[in-house]
Amino acid sequence: MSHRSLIERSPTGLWCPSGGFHIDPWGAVERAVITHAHADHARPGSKRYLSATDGLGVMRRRLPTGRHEGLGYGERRSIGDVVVSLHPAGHLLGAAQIRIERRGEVCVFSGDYKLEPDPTCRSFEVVRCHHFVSESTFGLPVYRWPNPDTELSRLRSWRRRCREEGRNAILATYALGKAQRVLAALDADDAPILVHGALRPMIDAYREAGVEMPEVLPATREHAQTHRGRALILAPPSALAGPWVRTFLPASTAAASGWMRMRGLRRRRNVERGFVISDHADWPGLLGAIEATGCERVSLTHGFTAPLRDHLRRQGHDADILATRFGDGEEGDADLPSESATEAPGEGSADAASGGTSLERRPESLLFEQDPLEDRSS
Amino acid sequence: MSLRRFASLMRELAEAAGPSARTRLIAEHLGACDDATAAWTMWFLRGRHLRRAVAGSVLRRWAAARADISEHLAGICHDHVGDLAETLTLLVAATTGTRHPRHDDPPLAEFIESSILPLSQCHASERQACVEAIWDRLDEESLYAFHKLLTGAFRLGVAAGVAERGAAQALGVEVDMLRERLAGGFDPTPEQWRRLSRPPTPDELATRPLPFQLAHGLETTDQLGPVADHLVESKWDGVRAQLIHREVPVLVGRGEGRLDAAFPELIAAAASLPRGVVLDGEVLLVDRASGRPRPFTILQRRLGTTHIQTGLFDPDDVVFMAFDLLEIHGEDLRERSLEFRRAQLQALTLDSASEIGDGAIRISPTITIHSWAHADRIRSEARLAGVEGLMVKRRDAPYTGGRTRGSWWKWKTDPRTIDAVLVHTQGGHGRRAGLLTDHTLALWDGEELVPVARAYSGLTDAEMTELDRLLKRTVVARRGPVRILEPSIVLEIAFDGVQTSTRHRSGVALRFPRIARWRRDKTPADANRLEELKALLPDADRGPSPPDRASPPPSSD
Repeated sequence: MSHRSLIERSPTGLWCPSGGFHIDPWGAVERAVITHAHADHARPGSKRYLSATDGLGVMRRRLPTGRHEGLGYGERRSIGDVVVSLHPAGHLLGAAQIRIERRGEVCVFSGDYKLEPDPTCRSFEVVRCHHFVSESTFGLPVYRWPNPDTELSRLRSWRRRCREEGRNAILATYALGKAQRVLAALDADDAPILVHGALRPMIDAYREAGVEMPEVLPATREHAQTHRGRALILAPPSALAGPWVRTFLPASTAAASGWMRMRGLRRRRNVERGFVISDHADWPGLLGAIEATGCERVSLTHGFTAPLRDHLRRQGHDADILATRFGDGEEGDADLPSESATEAPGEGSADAASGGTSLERRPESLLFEQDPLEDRSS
Repeated sequence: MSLRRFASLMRELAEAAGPSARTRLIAEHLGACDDATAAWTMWFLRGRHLRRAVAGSVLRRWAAARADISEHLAGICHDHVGDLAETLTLLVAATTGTRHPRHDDPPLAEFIESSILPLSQCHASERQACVEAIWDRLDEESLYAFHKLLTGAFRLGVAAGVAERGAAQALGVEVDMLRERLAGGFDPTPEQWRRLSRPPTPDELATRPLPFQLAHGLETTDQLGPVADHLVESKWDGVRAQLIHREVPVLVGRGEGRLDAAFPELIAAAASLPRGVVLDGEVLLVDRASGRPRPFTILQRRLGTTHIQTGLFDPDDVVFMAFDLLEIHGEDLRERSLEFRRAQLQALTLDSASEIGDGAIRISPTITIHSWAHADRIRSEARLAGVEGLMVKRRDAPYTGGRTRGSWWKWKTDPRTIDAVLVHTQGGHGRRAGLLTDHTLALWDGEELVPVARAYSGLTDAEMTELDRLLKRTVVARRGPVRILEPSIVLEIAFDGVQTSTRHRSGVALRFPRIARWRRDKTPADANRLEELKALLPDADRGPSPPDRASPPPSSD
């Protein structure tokens, strides 16, 4: 149909040639439109950033340099030869899908998204389009989320049981998005709640944006003493692996992440409990969202791209892979030709797909993500 | 206890912090269920599993069809999850959740006996329908338990001692007595479960083994105290067993149960022992010509065999190497000191007309040592004598079954090491799920790298993850789950022994190979050569295999 794609790959990131801007670029560019503030999508170094107004506070804290501009959800803005608008992605505060329209042709770049309601951000909105570019972090049929409310109430009863046993409850969450989503589901009954220093700035940013969360105390030695054995403590996953955790013993440890769906990953993370709370779409979520856009073509970025592509093709979709550096920073191997002489369809890229493993290959530059099993969210 | 309750027991055991919490859980569960279910639970707790009624690949195909995905995608899921039962559960649960909001929750024993066991009997064409019917009626947690039971890969992962203590609490019996009864064999029937708490029958009394005393690894002799307080002997590399002659001769292995059929020579020999004797020792094959023990793998071929043809030309003798005497004239000697028991064992040789001494039943010789340094020198030569190292035992200690630390020590020879090249790898299971951790290692044979061992353990988590990342980049081909690698990584492999093998292309097999360290300083060209490994073969084992031991032809692998 079209002569030239609305989104292409350039050395510095995804590029909209007709609009003259980049989308979530991994290099330094003139003009960047950003889906959300996680470090693999919002990188420093560019001159101008455009993102959803709801998340501006978060974005400015994450990228203090550069000129920031907000665009309200649904507001249309002409840039070059295209019209750009941002639509809720439900991933975290201010997360947006980017809709690009040129003479009636519509392309939507999803960024990261989830379909479940989340009190800390606007819910995912289906945007009809011709070409949908979807993430595929959890693009395997084994990933199906339980009801998040059930998981949150499991989390709270674990917390209560820890208190009865005189142990602190330490929960690993990503600093941006997950921590605030969990906090927003708690109330005064769950006090005292202590938070690791790395979580603090983003909690403040959410409060400033009007998200309601119970009061938290900094996880200091003093507070650890005062509330010994009674506290719920939120910390980034990397902190649980280090000596930091010793200050808060005796404690039970847990993690909140989509990866916790897998027993093996849970055990490798070395936590006692896992709560399946994800800010990404699960398998039925991905399939449902792709279907709902009514798109003629779908391109897949970061995650289990090849298995999802093969499945979509089997179902009659026009599906391909758009290699990016989101998530794991993988290039190339996600996009091997699928019908090579020696291998079954999709086999070539199965390596990239077959493991929590490929998730562990990521550049150091993803600041908050030292934990190999992270939702890659922060 | 229902299937769902059993499933949550599995989860709670995995989540429980520490052995005492697990013991409590087991006691609660066993105490609360009917005898039939308790029997099955106990059977599983002892590490047993059902025979696989349907092949894993077939189950995966059915699950793929049901989830409406390709078999290939189901395979990718399996690779990612690293556990078949869990993969099946995740794929199948997705299809039942909404269809059947009210799930069935059958009692465990009934479910096993009327749903799982009949699967192996029913005609292959009906099996899928039977499995589908079960899938329809279970919720996710029960599905997981069902798949674990069905795939025969089921492990509750509970230490034997924990299971026994839990069961003893539930039954209100002494744990020692329970252990002795379990050691005599346990089938998952309500009768057997009830029998665990009953007074033993005379028959049981006559054939039951006593709980084996275990030894612990010894790193250094610094803490041991005076040499004179200890008895030192060889650590034999055979099958630990008790040779019992109370009413009739019986041979019972520590992990294998009754071994009468596998070693008829020993049963015949034991018949000439005086009645009321229980010997503890090690079953060995001894090369008649050299008098040295044969490698364990050759002995292993006997296990599980029921019809032995003891050929006239068999170059080996089966020997029971006795090192302890637990009962004599029906009297329990376990409370007595080792010194005393050994003296009685020696006396048995003198005043009986049995074959003890040089025949099928022999006494493990004690080794006279003058100092720990002296013992260490003997240990370092142990390999030459075809044994694994030394045993060091306190002379004044009673015989204590189970894991009481501190009176028996095994002091193994230092492992040998080679530097080998990583040539193939595949994904691990359990906590290594999704990581490439199951490695095949090779040595140079001319210009060729020949696989000599597979090893999994030995690296730290961080190293495993790092190595996985590197390996992914060097994959040149895939063969099923196996990735063929461009040789780039050298690992130092430690092992306890090497023996000839007709099953391996290299012609040798390593005993207990494990990764000692990652040789980042070495390239594949620096790895060892196969000849260097073969030079370590014991003399007796260097020739071709004896003609009467039929072995499969060398595989071209």
